[in-house]
Amino acid sequence: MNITELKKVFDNCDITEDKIIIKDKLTETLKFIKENYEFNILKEIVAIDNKDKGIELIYRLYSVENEEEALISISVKNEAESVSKIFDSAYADEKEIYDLFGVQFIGNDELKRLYMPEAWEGHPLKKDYNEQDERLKWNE
Amino acid sequence: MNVILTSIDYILNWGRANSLWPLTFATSCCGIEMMQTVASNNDIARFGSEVFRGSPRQADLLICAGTITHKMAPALLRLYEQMPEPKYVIAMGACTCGGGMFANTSYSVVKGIDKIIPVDIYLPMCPPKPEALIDAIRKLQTDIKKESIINRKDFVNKHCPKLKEYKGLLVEEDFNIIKLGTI
Repeated sequence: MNITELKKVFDNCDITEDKIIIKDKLTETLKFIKENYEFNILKEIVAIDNKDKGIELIYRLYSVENEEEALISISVKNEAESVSKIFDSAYADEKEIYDLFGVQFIGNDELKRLYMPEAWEGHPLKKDYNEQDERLKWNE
Repeated sequence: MNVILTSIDYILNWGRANSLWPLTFATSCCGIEMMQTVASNNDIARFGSEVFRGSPRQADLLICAGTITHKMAPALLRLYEQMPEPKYVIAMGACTCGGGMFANTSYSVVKGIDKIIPVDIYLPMCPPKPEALIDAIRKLQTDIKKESIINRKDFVNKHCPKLKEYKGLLVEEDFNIIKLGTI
């Protein structure tokens, strides 16, 4: 993938050795990369809680033709654009991240609890998750 | 009267102990060891419990093999309540005995299934070898041979102290059994 070309299109890009860090226009970037560089597979979405800097989402794309990987990183605060219209596999990943990190994905209409029971309070993988739920006293 | 009861007990217990039909219920790695126990190398059939049932309504023994999370707990309780009396439970593996390695830090694991259902035999280790499971079944058989029809209900009532609290939670909200069943 030609980095300078990408820089021309999205002037907000910050490109390091291992990943492309963007600040906004997530769906546009992914769509552009998919259409122009044959990155057809979204392998996974990783979420990292960086406390004050917000939650970092890393999208791992894979190109079957060129056998290449691309990492696109974006930092969000509780809200992000959904890429499920571009990559179908994003539905499940976004659902999982919503369940464990509480990120609202706008445009994904299947957002609900995946691993935890529906009445669970809080999102367990966040750094400020508070474990004191009085309903679970029987489990101590 | 006592003489009659004892001889009835003897016959019933002989039958029960030698045809324990387990329920197919495995939630993680202990399940693999359970399958191993059924296979020909260890052959659980020698002790009369080779018939694994797919439906709880035909099973006598619940071998709870594997970690139980909060999401799985209502399903486990539902399965247990669907089983007809007499029913027995083996808690297989460290997770089901008391939380195992998840006991201190995990947010999602039930710390011992004895909080939800009464347990007859605790079988620790992570995971137990097939020989250990066979041993547990043998111990359960000797326990069954000693028991009386009258005492069984007392055992079940005594051995589940926190069940009421848990059931209150289920009725209250979406920790609900029925919702889970409709998925």
